[in-house]
Amino acid sequence: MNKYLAVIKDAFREALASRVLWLVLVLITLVLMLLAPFTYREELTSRLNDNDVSEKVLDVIRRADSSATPSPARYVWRQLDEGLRDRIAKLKIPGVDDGTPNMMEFMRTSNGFRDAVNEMIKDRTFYDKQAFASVQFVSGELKELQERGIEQLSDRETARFNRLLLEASFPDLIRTSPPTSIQFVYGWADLAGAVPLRSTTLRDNMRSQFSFVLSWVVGPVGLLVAVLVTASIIPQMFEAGSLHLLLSKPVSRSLVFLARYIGGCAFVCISAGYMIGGVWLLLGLRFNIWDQKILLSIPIYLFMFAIYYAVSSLAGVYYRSAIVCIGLTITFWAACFGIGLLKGALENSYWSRERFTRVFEVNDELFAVNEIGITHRWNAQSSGWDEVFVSDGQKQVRGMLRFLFFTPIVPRELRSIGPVYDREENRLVAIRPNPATGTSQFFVGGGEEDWKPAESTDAPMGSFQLVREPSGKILIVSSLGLYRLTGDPTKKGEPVKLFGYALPLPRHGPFEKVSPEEGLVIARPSDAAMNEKTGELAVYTRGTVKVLAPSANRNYETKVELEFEDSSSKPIALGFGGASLVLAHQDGRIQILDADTLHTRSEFDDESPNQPRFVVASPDGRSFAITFHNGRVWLYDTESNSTRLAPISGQRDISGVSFSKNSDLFVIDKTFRVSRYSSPSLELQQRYSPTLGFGGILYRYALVPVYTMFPKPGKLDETFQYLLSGKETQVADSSDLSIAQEELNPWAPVWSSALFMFVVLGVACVYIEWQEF
Amino acid sequence: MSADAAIQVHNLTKSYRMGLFRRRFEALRGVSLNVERGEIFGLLGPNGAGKTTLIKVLLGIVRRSSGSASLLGRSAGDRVGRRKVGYLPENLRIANHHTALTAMEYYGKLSGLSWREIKSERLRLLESVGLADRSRESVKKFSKGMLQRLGLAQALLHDPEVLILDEPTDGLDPVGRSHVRNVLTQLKEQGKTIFLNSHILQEVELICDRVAILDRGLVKAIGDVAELSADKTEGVELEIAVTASESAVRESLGKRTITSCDPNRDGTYRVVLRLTDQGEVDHCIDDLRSSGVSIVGLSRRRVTLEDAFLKLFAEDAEIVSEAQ
Repeated sequence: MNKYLAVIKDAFREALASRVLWLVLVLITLVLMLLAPFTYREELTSRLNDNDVSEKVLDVIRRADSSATPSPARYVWRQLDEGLRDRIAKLKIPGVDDGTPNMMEFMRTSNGFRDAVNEMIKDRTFYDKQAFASVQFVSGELKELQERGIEQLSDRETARFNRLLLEASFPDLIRTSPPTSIQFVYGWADLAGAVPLRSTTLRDNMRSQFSFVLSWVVGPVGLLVAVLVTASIIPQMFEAGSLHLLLSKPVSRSLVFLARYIGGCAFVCISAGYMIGGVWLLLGLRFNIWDQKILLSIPIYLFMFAIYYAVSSLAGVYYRSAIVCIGLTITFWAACFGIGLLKGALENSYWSRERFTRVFEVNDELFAVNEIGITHRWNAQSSGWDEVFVSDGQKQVRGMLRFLFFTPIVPRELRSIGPVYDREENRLVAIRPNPATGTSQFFVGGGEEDWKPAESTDAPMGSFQLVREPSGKILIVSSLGLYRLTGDPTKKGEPVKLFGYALPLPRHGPFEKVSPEEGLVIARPSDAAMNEKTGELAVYTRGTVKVLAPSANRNYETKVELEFEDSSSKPIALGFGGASLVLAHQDGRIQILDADTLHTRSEFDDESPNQPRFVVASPDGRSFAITFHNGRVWLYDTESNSTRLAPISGQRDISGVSFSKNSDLFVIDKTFRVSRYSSPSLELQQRYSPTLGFGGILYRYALVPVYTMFPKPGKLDETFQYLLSGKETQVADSSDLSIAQEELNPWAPVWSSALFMFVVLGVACVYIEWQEF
Repeated sequence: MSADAAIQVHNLTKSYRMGLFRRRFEALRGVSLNVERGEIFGLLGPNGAGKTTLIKVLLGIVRRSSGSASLLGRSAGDRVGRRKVGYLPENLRIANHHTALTAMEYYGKLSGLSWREIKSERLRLLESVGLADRSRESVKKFSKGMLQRLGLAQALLHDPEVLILDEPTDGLDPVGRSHVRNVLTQLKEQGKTIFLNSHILQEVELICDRVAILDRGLVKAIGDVAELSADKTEGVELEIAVTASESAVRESLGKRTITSCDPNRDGTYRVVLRLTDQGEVDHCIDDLRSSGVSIVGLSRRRVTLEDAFLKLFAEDAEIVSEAQ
């Protein structure tokens, strides 16, 4: 063993003597010294930043000028200086006023308005009870500050209170903010404005960003340097004059080769250890992130290098030239990157977006809805899914998404809501967001016209869910409250009013507002679920769960309410059935509440920390199915008050589940396959498995197996991310659990790359053993 | 053939495939030789004779095609056998990041020595090859001769039973050569077996007990140095330096066989004669003196290994040309 340790030591001595290691260590020291003054300060959020204010606010406040009724809009308008008021009054606002706006003037005026409001909210006398009388203090933080009394608040707290006041006054027009913001500091200097983040969120983000930095910045640069530096170690072994002496010694050729290979890796291990260890120390000292898991990136980075270095070493054994080693390693790198990119682009631009997430039945027909919101109908004759009820807008969105091939995620702004079946009118109703205007439109398709869609009136502002009441009516859940669809949505609607003023917002059509009398503002993160039996609606908004029950006047009234501490920015997925309300938390906890009291009945965390995506309740209210982002489905049985991993096929690849009218379970796996299981025995009743086309066969049986076997060193950041977070998926939008998350697949790159590395090193060893020098 | 021989080679062949068309090249064509324990054995031969290939086979660097080769009773190339062998390759190159001390440490470890063993021996050996005072210098400052000496020191570090030296005095100055010769002589006194491959025939003649001459993969001759360099022709070869005219010299020598008669720069003549016996030598001297020829030098010529080597290859060339 000593002999081979001597070879490792010699490789290392060689690196030390070449001064490259010293140079690398000095460079790393310089980088660490540059990073050392970087830190942050946490402060209360008050300041309005660039994207916090919608331009529509300008229109709302200028319209308020003429009103005699006190309102926040009129109050803010009157607080502005005359010059700014004059400019706002004359301003052409894009999307509001007709004609071409002067963008420079618009930017100047909106910035001026924002600056003026930022000054306003610092004022201790800003809060005027009369002006803000109509504002609901739904936020616990706002209530708490108000209860303490303005005069008792510090300057920062006053500014925070005023900011919350504005958020409550202009929901969806002034962005809701977390209680604290992060001010980044370099040495003594503040860097730009404060970022509205909690320190815990910042630390979580920094942890997750660490793997991004590792794989896209430190990784490539470090790897390139490491490959360049170590490329000569193996070829030097074959230099005439030294090779024969080496081979004359009582040593194994393969082990000498492997020892030199390890020597090259050890050199990189020291450099990476110093760099990552230094960053870990800085994160701990400057950001209070003492997470030992970050240090796991050292072996992962080393493993990543070892894969590339195995290729370099094989090239070194065969060609005995450092230049060829570098060239072939970079070629291999490019090949890995190219194949990964090709597979990712194919998956992202087609498979991920077309995957079904929801199934529903209409009479005897089975419908499935994909990630984009496009509806398909099962065609038993052709054993396939036919697209139905597809609007032109959805086709445009699909076309647009083809270009976003680098991510599998369908942004919330592009995803259709629904469809929901309207029994009374025998039609499908859905809402399609229009990213160009920021509004959304209904589209409906009647059964008699084979579900052919017709674009119709604007949907209420901030609509995010469609549910069906037990009566069969369609209920629209929006950030401004609840609306019931009462007539033909193809007719032109009325303008939306806020504080008595018509907003430049989508005109609402034939729907009545059925929010509770005290009003209902549903700010993100939010979710809603209808109890199909009782007709009660559960709503979650920014840390508060409410159960709303229909009253005699057909409006909804708050029945019971529960506020979670420190959860205002955390999303929850809701499921509501029978007497139970199921809350699936972001951290993977499943909380079962009594729907009447909102007392916790039980809690499960079997799949934690993986995040839940959907919760659905069976119509009889006995079972709940919770689909997690990692493709697993858990069932909660209310009778036994227990959870279990659903004993169905396709676990880890399930993209959604739904219950039929008679509580049978529909399970979607393999992108387009739907299986029907009886309830509660979960016996397979029927499969709706479409015949794959040529592209599908090529993808599933050629590209996927090849990619599975191909080394994936570039994907090792997913392994690190998994080790860091414990989650099997990558969160794309932390405010909405229903947005698809990218699968991390943490161990596939490890075993495929390890296998590749062993094969490459094995080939090199066999070659060395048999080659005559 | 002794069963206890240090090196035994029997009917050894080695062929390579070379060039674009993978043509077969036979480097060794049935070589057989034995090297006894404790002797210094020289391997001679022109370039391309197969000397280095033979060494490579013995050390397991290349595999034999057929025949057998063993080293200290173990099959050639066997890892255990190699533990008892010290090797100095031709054109030795030691990586530039080493000093003499670290190189000794590295190769000592590869030879299976412990750090303590290396530490106790390396300075003594460096001293014995004249490198003790430069032991901490980087080898990139070393001359070729110094590298050779360092190579010799590392070959001796693990106290091997057999030393295989490929051109050990290559690049050394006369003092260095003498130094190496002394070291080898001492090693022989210690009972070490030395297998030497050298171009410098005088070197081989001075220190080797036995030699083998290899040509195009075949053993041309093998035996004691004295035996190989023995004058196998009849009579005595005499070299005389005289001061007289050429005609006077030729006249006084009469009908005797004059091999050569060449004038020297100082005006004397160098005459080489082949005579039948010592009586003839005496008469010849008498005749020259009586003719008034002044003798300034007189020596009886001995056949060197180089002469024997050249003669061997010259005969071979004659046979080839006759055949042609």
